[in-house]
Order: sequence, then C-alpha cells, then structure tokens
Amino acid sequence: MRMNCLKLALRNLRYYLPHNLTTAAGIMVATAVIGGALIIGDSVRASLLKLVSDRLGKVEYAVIQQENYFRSALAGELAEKTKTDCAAVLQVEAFLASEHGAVKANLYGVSRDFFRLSPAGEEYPLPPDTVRLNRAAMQAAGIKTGETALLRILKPDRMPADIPMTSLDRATTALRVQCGEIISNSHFGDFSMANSQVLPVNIFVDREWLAEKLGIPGKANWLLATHGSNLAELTGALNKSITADDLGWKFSKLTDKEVELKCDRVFIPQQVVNAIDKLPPEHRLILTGFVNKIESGKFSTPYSFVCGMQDKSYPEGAEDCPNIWVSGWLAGDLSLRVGDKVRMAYYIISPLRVLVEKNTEFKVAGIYTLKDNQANRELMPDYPGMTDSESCRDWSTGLPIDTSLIRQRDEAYWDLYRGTPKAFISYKTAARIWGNRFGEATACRFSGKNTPQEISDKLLTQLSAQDLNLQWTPVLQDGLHGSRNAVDFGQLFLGLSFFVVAAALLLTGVLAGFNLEQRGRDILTLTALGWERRRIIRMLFIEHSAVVVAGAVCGIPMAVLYAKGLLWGIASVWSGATGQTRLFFKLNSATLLLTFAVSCAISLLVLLIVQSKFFKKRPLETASQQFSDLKCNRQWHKDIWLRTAGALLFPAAVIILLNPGQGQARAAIFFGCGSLLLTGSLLLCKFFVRRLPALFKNRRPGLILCGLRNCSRRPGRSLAAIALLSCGIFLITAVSVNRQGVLQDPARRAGGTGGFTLYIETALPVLADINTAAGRLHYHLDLPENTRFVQLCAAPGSEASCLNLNRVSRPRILGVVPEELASRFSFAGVIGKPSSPWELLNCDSGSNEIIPAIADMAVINWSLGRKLGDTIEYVGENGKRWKLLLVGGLENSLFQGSVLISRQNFLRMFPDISGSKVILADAAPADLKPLVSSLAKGLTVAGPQIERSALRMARYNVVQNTYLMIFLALGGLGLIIGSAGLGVLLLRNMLERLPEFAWMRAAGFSRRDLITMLLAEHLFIFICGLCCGIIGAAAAILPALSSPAGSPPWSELAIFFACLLLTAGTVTFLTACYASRLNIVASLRNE
Amino acid sequence: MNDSNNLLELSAVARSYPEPAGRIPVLTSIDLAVNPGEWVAVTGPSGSGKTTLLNLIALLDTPDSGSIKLDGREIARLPENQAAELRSLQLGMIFQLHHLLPQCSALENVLLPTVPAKIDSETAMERARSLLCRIGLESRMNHFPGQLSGGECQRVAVARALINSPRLLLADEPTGALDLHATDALLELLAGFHRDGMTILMVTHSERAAAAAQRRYVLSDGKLAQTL
Repeated sequence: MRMNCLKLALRNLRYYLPHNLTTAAGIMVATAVIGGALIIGDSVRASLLKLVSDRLGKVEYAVIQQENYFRSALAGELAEKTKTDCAAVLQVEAFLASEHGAVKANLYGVSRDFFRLSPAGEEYPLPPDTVRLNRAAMQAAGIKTGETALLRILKPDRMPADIPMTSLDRATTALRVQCGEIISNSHFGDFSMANSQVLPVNIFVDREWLAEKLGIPGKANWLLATHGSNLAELTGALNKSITADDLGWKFSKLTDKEVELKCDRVFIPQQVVNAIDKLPPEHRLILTGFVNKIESGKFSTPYSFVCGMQDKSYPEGAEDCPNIWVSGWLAGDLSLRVGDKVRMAYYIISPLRVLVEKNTEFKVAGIYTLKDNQANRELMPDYPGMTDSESCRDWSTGLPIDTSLIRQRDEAYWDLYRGTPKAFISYKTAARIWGNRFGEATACRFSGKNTPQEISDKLLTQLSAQDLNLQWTPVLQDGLHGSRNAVDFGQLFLGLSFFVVAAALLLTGVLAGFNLEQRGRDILTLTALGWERRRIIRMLFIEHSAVVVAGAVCGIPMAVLYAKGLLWGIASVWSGATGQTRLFFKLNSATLLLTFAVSCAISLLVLLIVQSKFFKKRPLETASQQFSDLKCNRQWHKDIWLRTAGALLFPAAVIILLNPGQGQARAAIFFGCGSLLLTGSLLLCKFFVRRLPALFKNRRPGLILCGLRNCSRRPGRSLAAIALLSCGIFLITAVSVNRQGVLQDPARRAGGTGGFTLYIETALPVLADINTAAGRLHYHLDLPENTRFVQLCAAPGSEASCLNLNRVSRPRILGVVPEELASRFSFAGVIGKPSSPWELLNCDSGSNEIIPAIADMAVINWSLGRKLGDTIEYVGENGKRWKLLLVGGLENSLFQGSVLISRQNFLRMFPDISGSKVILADAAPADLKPLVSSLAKGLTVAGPQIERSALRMARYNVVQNTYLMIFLALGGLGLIIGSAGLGVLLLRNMLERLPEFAWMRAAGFSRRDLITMLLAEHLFIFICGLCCGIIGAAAAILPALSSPAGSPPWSELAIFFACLLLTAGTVTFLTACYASRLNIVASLRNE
Repeated sequence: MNDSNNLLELSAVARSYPEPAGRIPVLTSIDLAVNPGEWVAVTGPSGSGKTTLLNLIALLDTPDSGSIKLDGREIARLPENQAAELRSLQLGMIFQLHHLLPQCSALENVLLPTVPAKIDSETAMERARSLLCRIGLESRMNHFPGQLSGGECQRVAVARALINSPRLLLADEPTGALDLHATDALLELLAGFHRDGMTILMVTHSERAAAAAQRRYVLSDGKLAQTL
C-alpha cells in the first residue's frame, strides 16, 4: 500500500462526497446554462442554414432581372455549354384573391428544369392553368386544395414607366386558376432569393402557360444555375449565348445599305451606345423626341416629333440657340424662313412622372422637302397607344393631350406621314435636351452592306453580359454568408444567461469555501505532519478537478434539456425574437466538448480563487472558525469613506457635467452611473457591517440589535449575500424597464416615425406623384386636406432589420428627396456637423462611385457590423460597382432594415427603376380612417400594405422586448439560484451557531426570542441587498422613465420583488424555526 | 541559556495578537532550553499561552520577536518549504484531539508523514507496522478513527508523530480528552519512547501528566518559570 497525494485525494473525495456533490451541483448548473446557450446557437444556425437549403436547393448562381425578359431557351443553351443544370424562371409580382381574402405573392412560372434544382431534385407535375401554392401562401390566402382563385398579375412591359409617353395605367391580367396540392419545401415550395428567415408566399405555375397569358411567349427573366457551376465558365457561356432577342434589340433592314437598331425599351442603353461607337460600320445615332408645340411668333404647331440625328449635315450651331432644319410642311405651317427663330416646348423625364415642361429656342438653318418613306416613319420610336393609332385624337399615352389643339392639318399629316419628324436638330443638341437616365438614343442606323445579324454579332462581341445587366449573382454564397453570420443566438443567450452562470458559480465558490473551512483542521494536521503547502494544494487540486469534471459531465445532459426548454420557449412565449421561424434542435459534439472545456476552466478558476483566498491565511487560521477579517487600521476606514464618496459622487458628476442628451450613449452613461452607485452602496454596506460591533458597544443589546450585530460575525458571508441580491435586483430592474411599447406620441417629428402617420409598401410601383392633383386624380384618391406624402424609390434587397435573423450584407436601398425629410427623425450619430443631417445625402463624396447613405444606427452596428464612415459595396444596374458611404445613423426609426440615399443617386444606380414602392403619409390622426380607406381603394392596383407607423415601430420593438423578457426570466432564475445559495449560507450559519443557540435557550431565551433575533439578522441582509440594488437601478432607469416610448414592466417587476421577499422571508423563517427547535442538552454536550 | 548542547533553545520569544483595542500580549519573554533526551512539561492556567508556545516551536506560528533554535539552527522565521521540511523530519506533533484524518485508516494515518519525507513505501510500511505493533494496535491498523476509542486514536497519533524518527516530540495537552485509564496508558507509552531516547516537550494542565516529566515549567503572565 502506498500513501500519496492522489490516494489521499481519492479518499477525501469519497469521504466528503455530500459536500463535493453540492459543489458539483453548482458546476452542473453553470455547465447546463453555458451548454444550453451554445446549443441554441447551433440550432438557430442550423435552422437558418436549412432554410437556405430549402429556399435555394441546388441553386448556386442566379441572374435576376425585373422587367428585362430574355429567351427561356437560354437556360438550355447554357446547360449544354457548361454541362450543368440550368433553369429559366418567369417571375412576376401578383395577387391571389379568393373568397377568404387576398395576398401579395411571388408568382413563378417554372418548368421541369426548375424542379431538378430543388432539394428533392426530382421533377414535379405542373399542369397549365393550375397553380401550386406553398404552405405560407395557402395559409395567408386561406385557400384549400381544389378551390379556385383569381390571380391578378401586372403585365410585363419593358418600357420604363417614368417615360411620360407610356401609359400610367399598367395593364394587369386577371386569371382564374384552380389551386393544386401544397408544394412542399423539398420541392422548392419555399423558393426565394430573399436572405430572410421569413417564409415566402409563393405560387407556381407552368412557365410557358404564364408567358402566353402575359403576351411574352418563350420568355423568362431569371436564370438559375446549380451547385458546382464554375462562375467564369457560366459567365463566358452566357456572354456567348446572348442574342439580340434576349436584349430586346430589333434590327431591321431599311434599305440595301442601311440597317436600323431599335430597342423595345425605347432608349438604347448607354453602354450599348458606347459599344456602337467602337464598331467599324458607319453609324448614326438618333434621338427623337415628342414636343408639345413648336411656335414662331403667333403661329404654333402642336404635338410633333423632332429628330436629333448624328450627321454632319446637321451641325449644332450656337449652344444657346442651336440649329434646326424644318420640313417644308412645318415651314408652311409656321411661315418660316431660314434664319427665323422658333421655340420648342417639351416635357423632360423626371421621377414619379412629374411633368416638367422645358423650352428651347432654335434658329432655322434650313428647310427640306418632306419625303414619306418607311425610313422616315421609323425615326419615331415605337410608343404603344400611339404608333398604331389611326388618328391623333386616338392617341393613348401617359401625356395629357389636349385634343382641342389638334387641327385638321395635324390629322392630315398623321394620315400621310404618321410619326415622321417635322424637323431635325443635331444629335448633340437632342442629347443635351432629351438625354436621360434610360439612354441618349432611340435608334441607330448603320451604313454599309452588313446584315443585321452581322451587326448584332459584332455589337455583342463588344459587350459582356455584365454590361447588359445580365450578371450571375452568387446567391448560395450570399445566403450561406447571411446564415453563418446571422444573429449569434449562442452569444446572445450566453449574455442573457450570464447572471444565472454567475449565480451558479458564486454558489459553487461559496460552497467550496465552506468545504475548505470545514477541513481546516485536516489541513492544519497535514501541515503539522510536515506536508508542504504546495503538496496540500496539489492534493486539493486533484480533488477539485475531479469535482469539476464530474459536475461538467453531469451538466452536459442537463444542457441538452435546458436547450430544448429554451427552444420551446423561443417557439412559444418568446416567438417575437425569431419571428415565427421554424427552429429545430441540433446537437454538435464539438459544442458539447467546448461546453465541457469552458465549464471546467471557469469552474476550476473559481475553485482555485477560493482555494487561494483560503491559503492566504496562516496555518493556524485555517483551522480556526473564529477568525475575523476585521481590519482595525484607521487608514482602512478612511479608504472606505474615500472610495464610497468617490463612487457616489462620480456618477453625479458625470450626469451633471456630461449632460447626456439623446441617443444610445445616454442609456449607457446612466447604466454606468447606476453601476457606480451600486458599487458605492455596497461599499457603504461593507463599512457599516464591519462597524456594527462598534456601534453597539457597551450597550445592553435587545434582540433586534443582537440580530443586527450578528451580521458582522462573518462579514464576508453577509456581504456576499448582499452583493448577490443587489446585483440581481439592479440588473433585472435596469434592463427590464428599457422595454419599448407602442409610441405614445407618433406625431413627434423627431421620433422614430418622423411624424408620419402611415407607412405604406406596395407590391407594384406607384408611378405618379400622389402629392399632385394629377397623381391623386389618376389613382382616384379622395384625401383629407393637408395630407402630404413622401414617396421613396425601392431597389430589391433583403431586410436588414432586427426582424431578420440573417446577416444581410447588402440591405434594400431606398431613394428619397432629402429635403422632404428635413427636421424629421433623430440621429444617433453623423459625420461632421451638418446643419441638417439629411443634407449629407446630397453632399459630394469626391468620387463618382461613392454615394452618401444613411441607415439606422442599430442596423449599421449590429446587422451590418459597420460604423459611420465605412462603406458597403453594391453592384448596380449594368454591373457597375458602387460604394455607399455611411454618413449618418438614425435612432430607431421606421427605416430599420433599409439604407437611404438621395433619389438622384438612386436613379444613377438603378436607372431602370421607376415609381415608388414605399410611401410615408403625414396626416392628422383624426383623418386616419378616411385616409386609410381612400389609399386602400385607390392604390389597389399597386397592392398596398398600409400600416400605422407607430405599430410598425412596435413590431421592431417586439424583438428587443422579447430579449428583455428572456433576460428577466433567466435573470429571475439566476436570482433563485442565488437565493438557494443564500439559503445554504443561512443554514450553514445556523449549524455553526447551534451551540450558541443552545446556550441561549438554556439561559432562558424563548423560541420566539431566537426567531426574532434571526429574522432581524437575515432580513437586514435582504433589505440592504434590496436597497443597494434599487439605488443602482434608480439611476440606470432614468432614461427609460423619461422616454415616451418606454413601457417598463412594473407589474412583472412587482411580482418578481414580491416573490423574492416571500422566498427570503420564508427561508429565513423556516431556518430560524429549525434552529429554535433543537435539543438543548444534546447541543451543549456536543460543545 | 546559551548552552550549545541544547536541542531546543528559546530566547526572549514574544508573541501577541491584534484586537480592535490594540495588541494583546500572550508571551512576553520566553526563555527555554531543552536538552536531548529530556522530557519537559510546561503547565499553566487556561489561556496562559501554552498552545501558542507549542505552535511557535512547531513553526505553525511566527514570534513577534526572539529566537528559536533547534540544534543550534535558528528556525523561528524559516521560509514555508524549509519549515515544512523541518516539521517532517525533525519534529513530531501530538494534539489534544488526536486530529486523525477520519477518511484514512490507522495505518494510513501513520503513513501520512512519510509522504513529504520521501521515504520509500516499503520502509515506511515496515516502520508504520512496527510502531502500531508497539502501541498495541497491530490488529486494528485497518480500522478507521471512527471505529477506535479516544485513547486508541491518541495512541495512533503518537505513532504518526514518531514515524519519521523526529528529534523532538511536541505534545499539546495529549491527555486532555482522555479518561484516567487512557491517560495512564498514553503516558506509559510516551515514557517508553522517552526511555528510548526521545526528547519530549509537553504542555499540559494535568498534574498527572506533568508528573511524568523530568522538568517542569509554569507559564504565567507570558513568562516561563521552572519549578522542579
């Protein structure tokens, strides 16, 4: 038999098993909470990754267009060239209406190749005129399988809606369809390109059937490519496969020597014009505009086409009065001679189709003979509603045509010449006055013997797919990035649970300290027998390690249970944190190992700290349970006063001197002040507890005074109890009162709503400015007086608000006129000191590619992981790269989830986007009902979702409030664990003092006397803890109390404090009763 | 008191303890010399500082002033590791309440001091068994303290204190918790070891125990005075 450290350690473990088990219990709880939080993180991450898999299936890259339609056969050509699976999809916005309700949905026209890319990878039957809905669509629309419904779809139109010539009324198609079975997520039911955990509302129909119904047979606007695709190969294949038909180019042979190029979007994109300039064949760019009138003196010719042509026959002339060549017909109508001046009035293209009429003066440089031929007629762009009209009075365009101005002559001209221009100007002049974001040419004529195909091929070699806005987006990579970098629920729950962990570890430390004290005699004996201190410490380390490992191992299964409990909570009472996301449980062995390692490390650290404190004592003191850590040094008392005074004065100074205003810093400063007040209060408590004996010196103590004095017997224990209680109360109160409710004053312009009453998002763009009479008339809006709107353009993108768990690297962009938001909303931070932060959006960033942007500060910091001054990279239309420079951070606003830039910059980035999809309404609260009713009716064609701004803000607050609720629940759990520790502490105190109680009983004190004394002692500790906690919390909650949006959970807090008081009182009372019932004789004999 | 033949020599040793009102002196100026092979008893009223004196000699405490020499070597303020070595190899200590580790058997308790002394296990085992045999507990060596009487436990404590063959045996009220019969048995045991050459310094308030010693001192008012 051999005696050594290890053997003695093992003996000790077995002998002191009950004590070790209590220590291990604390470690078990800490392990369970740490592990549970990490498992939750894994589960949420895995759930989000599964959502990516469900919504993307095998798709890795996608070409996503809005209203640019290419041949659906392109997918097959790409598949053959790259030997991968590709699919073409026709995606349009739609409404599904049934007798149960209506819902905005994503309508996908798909074919077999689409379903091969689904998670299941197998084909799925989709008969024509039958729709398949996913579960979310079925639930939203309230439809069942077999029922019929009305599908309303916006008809595709390549022509930009902001061109005044196009009709304001976008045609919609209504189709009556029958609903088939629910399409499951394994068959792409939850297909979506949006990086969000919110399940999309999807409808699937046969692509060719849909294309026929929409009048674009054989067309699609999305391309999908599968996993394992090589991006370079895909890009190369796409470059080689694109044809003129895919781009909406129309080539026609005007004569043997002339080929004309036109575009179905009216204007030829600038990058195409740039490519044309590099081509060898001679060419002439043409920009034909529609003018309201051409007048000279008292004569006026209405509604004519004038052509700007790139030809040396048409030199520009003076810039302030350029040359114009008029036809003989026009010269006769206006009695013109060469050298005369004419004035031309025309509308220019501006956002929201606001008609701005401009005038330019020209000088007649020549008069030519009008020839009627196809080439001249083709100079007029193809405007539906105009080109095929038989008479001028039949014109149906978006322009206000005053038919009373149209004369017989004009009708005769139209009969003979149709849209042949009545005058020519230089191309340079035309580009200057009519050039716009859509392009600076309506046609191009190539001279020479090249065929249209040859010219098309040559042009396409100059352009890449990216130039033509056909670029592959790495959707899978973006989705995985968003999921992997999503809100880390592991860290979140670790943060929310830290008080539970701290309480468990504190309890572990307290119990370990008790155990060591109990073994003080053993340790003294070993010391006396010649055991070196390090040998004894080594022996204890072996014991502690075994206890820690045992506690951690037992804590692992508890962690699994705790995680399942938390998941249940997240799916039910705390569903506000995840927005109804389907979460499943995911167990990762690496996480369990990490939990084990972390738990062992911190538990061992706690035990080593306790051990090290114990061994600071001299050998004799380790065996004495009467030691006191009272310091009688006068200097120490002075230090306490100084430290306390400083701690109490400092926050006062901070509050007064810094005068924290608005913003997140205010809350942080007050919380910091509260923490200092708490610290100061605890120091005061420490001082008074130690001074208690001196306060009652030389007095005959009553029972209550005896009880109070007893607090100073073991001041460390008393203070540990006070500190635990006060910290718990402080944290729970200070954090919980920051709960945000519905805004009390949504009309406040500096608040989160900006003073706007309504927030409206439309499925389809609202094309007109509904602040104008014309706009309101078009949408039949009968609005209360003084109702004003701010309309924002919206580019596609993911929501980056707290409602989206995924990390969004490129949030949705909104374009706004900064002046319309002046003095609205509050800023948490801006760059520089501008007089109006919104003006920063108009500032010159110093570079063409850098655009100033504003977003919610919380989104900047947390969702994007950036700060002010950082940039976010975007790829705009035509593949151009942009950098959005974050110049301002809003404070908790309606725009959470989006990034705002000026409308001007928006149209530079996205020239093809017309109209607005986000509208803010400013109206008196009393007018709310009629306003909502009118908007819902008038904007029906656009599919509006109308929401009160205050309620929208409340939805954002749901996430934060849910987190606070979780913190309150877990904090309460931590406090319960702490209270259990207090109970253990009380019991320990009682047991140590049993002989003393026995003596008191023997000396004549009654049971009631004993209970009174003990209650006084322990309730004093509780009240000190409560007061310290409330003092600290009082400072920390000031911002929340003064915030109009604050909604502190007073009732929950009241219940919480009542439970705490009840628990403390009950535990104390029961322990005191136990102590009072002991056997006097036996206790005295044992002494 | 400067006899170089002294095994233990204390000169002007003083010790006091801090209290809120100031320091309370326990030992004011202790001079003591113990020769090798002597049995010295220190008596005194309760609270006179007998245990404090023993704790200082056993290097479990440090004097405020004065000198303690063992075999001519100053030991009062040794670093912890040297003090431990001294306790292991030169000193043996018996407490009033045996202080056997309850989780170890009698044999294991006796073996405990051999661990820091780095004695090989065979030798240690042989010594332990021999000692237990000598104290009459050979058949009880695998019993735990809870299974032994108070007197038997104290005898095991004696064996434990002697296993490393210390130069000096320190006994703090060794008979304080024993009845008359057990007291006599223990004193007889100690006498046996004393006859074999063991030097014993014993503090006691028992006349019976003090009578067994060769020399007696009385500790009073912080000072030591020899009686017979």
